[in-house]
Amino acid sequence: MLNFIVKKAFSLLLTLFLASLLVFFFLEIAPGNIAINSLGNTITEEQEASFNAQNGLDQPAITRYIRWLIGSDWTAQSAVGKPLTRLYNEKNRQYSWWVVDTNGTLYQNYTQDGETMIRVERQPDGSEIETEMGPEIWKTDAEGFPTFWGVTREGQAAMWVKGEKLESWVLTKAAWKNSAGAPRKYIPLQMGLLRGDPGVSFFTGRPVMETLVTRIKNTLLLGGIAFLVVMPLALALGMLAGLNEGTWIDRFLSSTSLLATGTPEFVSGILLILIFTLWLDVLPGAVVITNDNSLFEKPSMLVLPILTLTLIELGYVLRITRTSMVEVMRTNYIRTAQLKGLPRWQIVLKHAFKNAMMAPITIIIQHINWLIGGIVVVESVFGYPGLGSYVREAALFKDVFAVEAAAMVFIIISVFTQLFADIIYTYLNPRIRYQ
Amino acid sequence: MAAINLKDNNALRPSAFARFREAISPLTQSKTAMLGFIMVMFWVIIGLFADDILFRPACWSEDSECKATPWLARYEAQQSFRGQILKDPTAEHWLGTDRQGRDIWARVAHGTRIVLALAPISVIVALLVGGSLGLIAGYFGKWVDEIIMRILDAMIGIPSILMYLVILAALGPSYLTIVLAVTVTGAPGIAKLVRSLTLDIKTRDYIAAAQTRGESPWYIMFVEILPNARGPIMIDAMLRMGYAVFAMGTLGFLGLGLPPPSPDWGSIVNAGRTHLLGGHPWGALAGSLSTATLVLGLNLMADGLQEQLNKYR
Repeated sequence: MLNFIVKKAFSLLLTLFLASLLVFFFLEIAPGNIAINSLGNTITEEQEASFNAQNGLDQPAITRYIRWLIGSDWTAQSAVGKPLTRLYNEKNRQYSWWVVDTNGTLYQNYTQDGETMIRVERQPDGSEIETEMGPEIWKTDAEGFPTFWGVTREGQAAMWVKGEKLESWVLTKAAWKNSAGAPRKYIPLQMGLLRGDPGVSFFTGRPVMETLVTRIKNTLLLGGIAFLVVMPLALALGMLAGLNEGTWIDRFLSSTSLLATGTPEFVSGILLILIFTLWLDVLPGAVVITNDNSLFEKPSMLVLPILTLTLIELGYVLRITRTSMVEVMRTNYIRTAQLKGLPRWQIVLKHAFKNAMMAPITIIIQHINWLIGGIVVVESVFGYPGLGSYVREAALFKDVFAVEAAAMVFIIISVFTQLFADIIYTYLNPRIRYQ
Repeated sequence: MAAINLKDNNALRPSAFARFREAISPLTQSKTAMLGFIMVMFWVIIGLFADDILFRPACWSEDSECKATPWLARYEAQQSFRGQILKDPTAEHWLGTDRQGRDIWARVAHGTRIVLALAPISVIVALLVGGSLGLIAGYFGKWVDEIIMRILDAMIGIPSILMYLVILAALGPSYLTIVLAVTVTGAPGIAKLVRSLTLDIKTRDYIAAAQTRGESPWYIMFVEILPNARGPIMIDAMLRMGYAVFAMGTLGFLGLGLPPPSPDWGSIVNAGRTHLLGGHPWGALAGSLSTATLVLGLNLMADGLQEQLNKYR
């Protein structure tokens, strides 16, 4: 058993690694242009080049992948020669990066003319003091240029070259800002996905992680409730259909389930809104969040999203349960029990139940993949602020880091539940355990 | 189904008509399959005869200035009627009109063409890619199999909707991206199926015979193995066609489908959903039900054929 779990866990890690490569490959290496996607197609070539340099998009794919996965602060630290630290600003909810000087003070650097570097020192109370630095800071590098490594005001480690008149472009809220004295080389600072920092959203300018956490909570709530509703209902109805094979109950349940599975999520969502909101006017057709407790104050908002998710899942699990039940009821040991004259309820509950449940329970857990697809659509239909609608919004705005992070969260959930399903299945069915 | 190889025995070859009847017999024998077939054919006919442009080859090039005469669609997809904004169904506009005053039925009928062209194309591409990978993995086995299956397992681990979103976000919406998205998500499943069929067929005597004759592996894979695995593959393809329609509808609905003014069904739903709570459900309803009936038809067909196939075993 342990051997089996270790083997499965290894293949899970491999799956996650390959999945991360795939997601990264499609979003960052594929011929789409992130600069134009994020900033619009009116940007000039200088602006595009500057954006790419500041965000490290002009670097080789392998460097970017490593930075995305495990961060870049450690490479930057060796370049700057001093430790770096990340601070969280409560006011504008953004991260800032600082160099830790030998005496413990934090500082950043910038220059306006490429000659005099300015050191911005952070005081313990959060205010900043600017001082000009002398020419002695320029160090000659291997190629003979006078250079200086520091951390910019925007959170990149950067290399300035003395006397160079480079320009950088930054899109502020009002307009493009053009400033002289730009660094020659940037290392965007990031902790990396594995250390809990999937980057800063190009769209909102805020850390992706911050939005992600609330969204994950909301989605787990919705998905969890739906799961708790679907599972017993589908098993019970499936058993009912299986035990009454060929009767009108069976035919009704089977054809309804076929209909429910074949109907796309957005169709059933729209039909439910039509029926319950527009015609009967009993349930709200959209989820509106005004404060953190909205969902608990008005739980009726959750009914239609859950019902939609239930409809999709119900059909599939019901059919599996039915088939499994029918098969078990035809086995010899059930016939023996019937010939012994045991009452029917006892046969079903004591002898058939456990064996008939094996297939559907595994299917349900493996089916988390489908539930995820359903959740993306259902959240978009009802405007529910979960991870699914987040990944959709991010995809619409081509917010690369946000799509990557949300997709990876979904993939991690789906891969782990599959491992869980495998373990449960081997536990339930010793015959395949040691293969 | 009939696995007898009649290749070298032309005298035994039945007439074209008999062969056609034999080929469609699983369809006519199953009520479920027949019902599905009728539902699919309904949309095929609407798609074919929406207007006359398909029957005038001179008009097929992009820059021709042909004016199509609407048949079943009744109007053109982009024709907007002055003053007819968000109207309920009438005799003139069977399904009402949308926000731009365009006839919803005309849009649905024209959209049928996009759906019915893109779904089979993407499934065929997925079949080519997935089928070849499955054949190679199953036939060569060992490390080739190991590498291919590991990568495909990883791809199956990614929920397909995420694959769609990631690809569409990266490459932007177009016909090509949608085909690519469906291929990337469909191919691993096809490969796994073809691989398991290959593993089974590989052990048959006629494969051993071909190997002894000294045929190349590619000949054996594509001429000996593939044709004998066609039954399950075709049923799987039919289900996948349903998924593809499903996926295109979902993408359009999420706003990631073809750019406007494309009349594909998902886009019709997406345009109509904003007016759903405003009391004009016709756009959303028409696009939704079209998608649902086509998907259901394809599923029913696959289900019925599967039953027939199991009977032969």
